[in-house]
Amino acid sequence: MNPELPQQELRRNEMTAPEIADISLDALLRRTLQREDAPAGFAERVLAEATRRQAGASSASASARRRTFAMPGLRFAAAAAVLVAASVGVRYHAEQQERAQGEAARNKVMLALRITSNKLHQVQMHVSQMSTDDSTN
Amino acid sequence: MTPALANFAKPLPLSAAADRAGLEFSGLLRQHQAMVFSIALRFLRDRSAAEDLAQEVFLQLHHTLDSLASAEHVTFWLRRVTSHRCLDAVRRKRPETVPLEDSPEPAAPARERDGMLEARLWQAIGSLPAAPRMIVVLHYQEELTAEEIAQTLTMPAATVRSHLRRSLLLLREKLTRMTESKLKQESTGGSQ
Repeated sequence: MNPELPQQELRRNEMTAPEIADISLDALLRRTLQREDAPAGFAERVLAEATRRQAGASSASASARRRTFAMPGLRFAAAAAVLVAASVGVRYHAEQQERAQGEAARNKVMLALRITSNKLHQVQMHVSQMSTDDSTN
Repeated sequence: MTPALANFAKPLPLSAAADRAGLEFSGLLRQHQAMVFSIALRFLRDRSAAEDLAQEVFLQLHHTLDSLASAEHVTFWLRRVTSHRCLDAVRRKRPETVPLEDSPEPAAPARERDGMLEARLWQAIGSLPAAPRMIVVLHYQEELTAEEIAQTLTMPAATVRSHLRRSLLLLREKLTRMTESKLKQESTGGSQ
């Protein structure tokens, strides 16, 4: 038997209630507010629920995709959008080709005009040279 | 490991970021379940409500884990989300202050080592308004400083300190009153 215990009890009985509360409140709070283990099986339940929700979420998104494409109106709209995009693309490509061809033809004409102009210039120079020679003779 | 738990030995798939940080959900769940459950239990004083709340916190963690960079961040996040969910639950449920006389006995069965004083203290903590009660729980259960509590609850540290001071005065006063009335009862009973 611990001989200290009766002494402690004696001292405790001599103290007033406020004194007891004052001294022990901090320690009492720490003891009362200690962590407590989660209930048995808590982790298993959470993991099962997480797995269930994860499976539910992925199947929900898959079925949402299926539902979306199962709607006839939406299917028609998607097909129409693809067709419009394709025709716009083809038209754009054709226009680009036409523009490139036009540009090439214009360049050819410009080159031909430059060559002709050079030739004419040379002829003109030649003629004026001849007329100068005639007048000096 | 129980057979049910063995089924979950393979970790649930997580993002690459969480994987890099070595954060594995089932490990974190087992590591922190006592902390989350205890904060909810001490605050709500209802075992079943605390378990539901703790479960929702962990399911939210499972959803959010890829945005958490480290183990410390996870601990901080868990305390923060649990505290805020507790405060929200009380706000939704009823007016936050309950007179001590009307305050119910804890729904959770008192642990065997709980003495009369601890049970009374538990009751007195339950009578505190929501924010000071959460501050007391975080300070004494989680041993957080005023600054850490301020970060967790998103409030100034000075406010936390003032709540803590006033809560301790209030608890001391209530406990003294309870102890005196108990002693009076005993002496009246003894003299008869």
